[in-house]
Amino acid sequence: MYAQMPDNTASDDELTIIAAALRDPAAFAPLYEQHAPDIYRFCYLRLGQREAADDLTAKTFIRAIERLHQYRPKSGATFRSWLFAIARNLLADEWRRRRDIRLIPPIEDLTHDDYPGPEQLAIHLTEMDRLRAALQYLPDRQREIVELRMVGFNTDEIATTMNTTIAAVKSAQARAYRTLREHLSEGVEP
Amino acid sequence: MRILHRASRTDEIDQALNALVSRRPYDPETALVSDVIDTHTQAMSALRSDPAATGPAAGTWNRVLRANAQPTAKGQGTMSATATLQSPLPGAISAPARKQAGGFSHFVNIAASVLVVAAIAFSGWFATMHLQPSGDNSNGLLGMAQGTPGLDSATCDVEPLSVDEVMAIVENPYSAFDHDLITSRDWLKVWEEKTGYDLLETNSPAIDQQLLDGFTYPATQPSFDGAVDRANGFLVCAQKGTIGQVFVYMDPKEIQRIVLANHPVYRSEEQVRATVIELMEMPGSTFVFPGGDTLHASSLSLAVNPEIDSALVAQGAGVSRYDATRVMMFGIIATDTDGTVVYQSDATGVASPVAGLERTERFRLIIKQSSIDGQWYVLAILPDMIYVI
Repeated sequence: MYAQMPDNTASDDELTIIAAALRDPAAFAPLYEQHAPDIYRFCYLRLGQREAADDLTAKTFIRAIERLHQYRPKSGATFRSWLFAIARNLLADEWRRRRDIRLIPPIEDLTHDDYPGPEQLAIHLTEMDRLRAALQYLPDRQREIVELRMVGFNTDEIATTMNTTIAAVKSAQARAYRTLREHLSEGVEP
Repeated sequence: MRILHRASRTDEIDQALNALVSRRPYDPETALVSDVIDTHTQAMSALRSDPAATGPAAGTWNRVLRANAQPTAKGQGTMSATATLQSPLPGAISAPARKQAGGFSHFVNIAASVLVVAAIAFSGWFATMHLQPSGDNSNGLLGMAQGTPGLDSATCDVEPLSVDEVMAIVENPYSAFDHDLITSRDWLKVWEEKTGYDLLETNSPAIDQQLLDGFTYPATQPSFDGAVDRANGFLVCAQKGTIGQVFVYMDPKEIQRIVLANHPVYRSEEQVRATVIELMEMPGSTFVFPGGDTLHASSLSLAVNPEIDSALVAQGAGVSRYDATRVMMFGIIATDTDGTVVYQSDATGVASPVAGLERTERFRLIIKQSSIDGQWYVLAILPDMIYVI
């Protein structure tokens, strides 16, 4: 009935790769492939722009590799929670930056080869727009918890990444999902 | 009981979500938990339906590797690349002071009051004038500028500008520029007819909000590395060199502006020359980091933030007003003797606090790529302050 908590420690494979990447950044590639999509989605959820999310993803891994020597496996903390803590800090910086900087319109979003046609795209964007609008009703910490859930984080990882307690995560996420449900259902025909 | 009931529902919600993210089945006991599962599923459906949410672009990993291949990206390279900051100079100031007739404190104060520190550069005119047609430019200014200390050099060994070269820049930094503002003036009479401020108003605007507003995000790769190298060369000489060496890296308009800013009233050519002679031997740090107590507080090595994503490029008028094909703004990174980054700013001025100090400066370096010779020339360092609680 109750879900079992996944193992939260860094795996041996991860530690081996990290050790190799300390000598050669290119050795980090497997960890990039494993975590980059989630880091990207986390950034994309917050920024809403492909290019900006790409930039933040790159920046996250650049910084992670730079600071790899500072990584210490800790009980209850996964490597990806360490990565996401970096992404979270960079997002906070980006958010401050956006108060002053005009962003380039995400033209790429409309011209990317992998994209469906305009009609299908409109439907997709409407659904995603509704999610983004609903997320904006959440206080920052609640929103972050939902966003981390959406990229596959369990409670321990969220608590580690956000430097808070498990009890605080549980409490905030219950409120977050209640608020999110209210706003996601707005405008949806029965 | 009510508290216990609420806690158990919170736990059940948590367990349901943990099961969902682990892609394991979960059988909800209450409608509340079912609602949470539905909400999460709906949110995930929206995210998956957006093609832009699939993952990063194919080239992102290469960008990561490229950035990490740069020695300045890891601290150690930065350490070896830059020089240790000198102690605060007597002339370094934190606020504009009253004008004095002659003397360098006045000079320094004016430069600081407009928040433009580094002016310098070698205009295309100078480069063109000194380059040999045969390609032997070892004695030319461009050759000298290109022989800048790179990231592996901890010293500023670039040949400084001569007094005559600076005087020529002051007299006309744009001789080679086909520009009405330049060609319509009789520059040879500058000493007789024009005060310093007259020239500043018409020809050499300081870095101001209009330019800063024109910066956008992000920078682009072309010539980025060249800009980083030049900016770091400038910083090395600012730390260990003289003003004459710092000028090698600076935009000539800014050189002119700095020199003439010391002469708000009419001066003879001889008086200006005397000022330039004295100026050239001053430490480079005099004009770089005025009021920069924080970074002067300990032995640090400085380099521009090498992450292209943290640099900005100017748009529109911000570029054309500086006769540049591109104008970029960088943050600055300071490392201590252990190679640990103790200060970091990005181009928007976001800066990390420096432990133990009440304030830090949001240092930003502005550099342009000349439309004439394609070389990068530093326009300024902006040391606007932030206060750290």
